Amino acid sequence: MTETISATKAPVAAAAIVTGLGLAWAVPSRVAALAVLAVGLAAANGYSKAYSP
Amino acid sequence: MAAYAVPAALAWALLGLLLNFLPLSRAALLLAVVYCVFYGVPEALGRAGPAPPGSRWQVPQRMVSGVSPRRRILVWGAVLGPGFATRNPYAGFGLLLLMVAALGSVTTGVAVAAAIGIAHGTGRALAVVRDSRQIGATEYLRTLLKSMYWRTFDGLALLVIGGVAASAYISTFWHVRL
Repeated sequence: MTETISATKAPVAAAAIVTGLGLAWAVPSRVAALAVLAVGLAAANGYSKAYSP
Repeated sequence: MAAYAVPAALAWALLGLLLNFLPLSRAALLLAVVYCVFYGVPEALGRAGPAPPGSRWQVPQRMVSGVSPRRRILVWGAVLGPGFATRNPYAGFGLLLLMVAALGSVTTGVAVAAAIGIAHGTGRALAVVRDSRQIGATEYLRTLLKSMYWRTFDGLALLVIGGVAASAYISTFWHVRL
């Protein structure tokens, strides 16, 4: 079961890496791209955490 | 919302200042690539992996019990908003520190770090509002499924960012646009 899940997810993971590499060459500034991605990741990270008081 | 976002912006801006005083940019980019692969691959593939770096510290009860609701919100906001002193179930949070260090400019570092703080604090406040309703047995299962979804999302985000960071790292040797 775990192997099957990983097998279907592997192409998606590879596509994510290729997307990142392609994005870096497509944008005018890689630092700006990293900054935008960092802010987006921070928002997603904050929202994805469960209520934990 | 402001109780979470403002302390987060201040804490992250201070971190952005400290991390960009030293010339850590190239090392941080390389570390970011390694980090993204190390944590991103197991998360994206849905496999067991290393525990994300983080703290298990929790707010002591005495800081929030017997105080006014306003003060309680301020304490929660100051602790949960920045995200350092709380449990981080996904590895993406740790990468944010490396990304700030990779910016290579104090001004940019402080600005982006403050934006990261606002984004995290606001997201965290929205999550508290989202989850503050009563949680039943069905809701618990749904939360479990959501955490699996978020873990995969976090892993894929790490891999995308890892690709960008790898390109940025390589370009530092070719003296091409960064």
